Amino acid sequence: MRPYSLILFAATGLLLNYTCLGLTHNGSTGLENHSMSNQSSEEQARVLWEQAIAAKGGREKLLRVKNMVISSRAVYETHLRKRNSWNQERLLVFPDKEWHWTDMRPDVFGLRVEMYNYEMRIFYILTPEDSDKKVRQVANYKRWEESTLSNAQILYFMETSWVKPLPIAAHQDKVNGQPVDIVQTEFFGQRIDFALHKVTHLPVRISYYNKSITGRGPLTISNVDLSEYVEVDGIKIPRKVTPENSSTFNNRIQINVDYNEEVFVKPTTLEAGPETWRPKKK
Amino acid sequence: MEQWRGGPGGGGGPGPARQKKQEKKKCKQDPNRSQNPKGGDIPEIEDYLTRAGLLNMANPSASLIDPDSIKPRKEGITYTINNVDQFNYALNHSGYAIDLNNGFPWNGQHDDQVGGKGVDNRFRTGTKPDKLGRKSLQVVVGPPDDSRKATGYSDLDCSNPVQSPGSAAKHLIGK
Repeated sequence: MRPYSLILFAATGLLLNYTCLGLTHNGSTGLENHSMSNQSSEEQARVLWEQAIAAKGGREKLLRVKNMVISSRAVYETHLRKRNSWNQERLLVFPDKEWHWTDMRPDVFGLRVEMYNYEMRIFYILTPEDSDKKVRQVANYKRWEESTLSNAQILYFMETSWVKPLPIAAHQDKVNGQPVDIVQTEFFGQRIDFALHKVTHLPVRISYYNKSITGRGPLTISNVDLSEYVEVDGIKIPRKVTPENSSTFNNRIQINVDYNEEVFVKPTTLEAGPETWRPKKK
Repeated sequence: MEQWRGGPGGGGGPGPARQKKQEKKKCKQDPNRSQNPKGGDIPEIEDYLTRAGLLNMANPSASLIDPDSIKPRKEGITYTINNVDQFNYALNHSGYAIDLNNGFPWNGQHDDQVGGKGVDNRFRTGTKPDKLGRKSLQVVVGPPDDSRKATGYSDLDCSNPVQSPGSAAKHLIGK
């Protein structure tokens, strides 16, 4: 993020804090006007949110989602202008288990298989170079609510049985030159904005407001653009996902799959390949 | 910015006396063999990353690199970066790093080992206060995923190819 963006964001944050506290120089009149506009903005946010949930396929279908598999392929360019492929296979069992196969070979990042089971508080990471295949204890500070598990539910479903962002305010803006409705939400103490298409009401961009991890850096806003919606089990899901300053992921999504539960208990082998998550044949 | 200059809790870099003694030692780059996953350069790379403000083993929840994710890879290590924007901000403000993405025609020791756009960084070598240490730390940042996480790669080289023409020659000869 460029420095001026950070300054602009900091200034906007201060302005928001200033106005939300009703610290206007007009005294009570300003406060009343502001709370009225806040109320209507919150109502508007709720209406827009419900429209988007309906456009996704309806809450009933969203609440039926128990797990998903994301098979994705992206191409990125190195600083030497080499093109490299990036293949991923991710099994996410909601709310608290994830298994990832990430293959960036022959680049330095190599191949990694990672599993986090927040229910049992165990994890493992496998790489071809490391003979250590031990299952280890997940650190106390790590929670599924702050992991890719909640992020994926927000990104692909907006709302599930475990993740329900709270609509707070709404306004209008433009994304890639197109007018959109922005719904500001909050989930697990984090601000997340959804930019909704004016006609389809589906999210075209999701913006995450990330607090500083170290406590010393600035807040950062990261955008993820969503496009080419396809229907999977009656739910509209973006096939193309483009994080800011990154590659476009072409995804194939499966919902409520049968899977091999063993992957969440003991390490798989790298030789078994990216589809180790599939149930064992009987 | 001062807060990114290693600072307290930064892994305990060498004191002046030890530093002087180390200068006389021959710079050696250890391969990280799979049969010795915790051997080779790994503790030293972790020490450099800590002093660069990128790794915090003492307080993992405030660490830009997930300490649990560190694994050996070739002569270095790979790891998970918790938020790539904040990691790049820390790199840009460290005061130690040289960004290799401004068209510098480097094509050397790790020419097949590079990450996404604008990602290869090398830290200046030297023992003066504005340097991290005797060796050059390389930090390669992969492209971010949809959670802003990324994979990173780091290793230590005996010289920094972009610091001076002499360093570049030394780097290539040392290959």
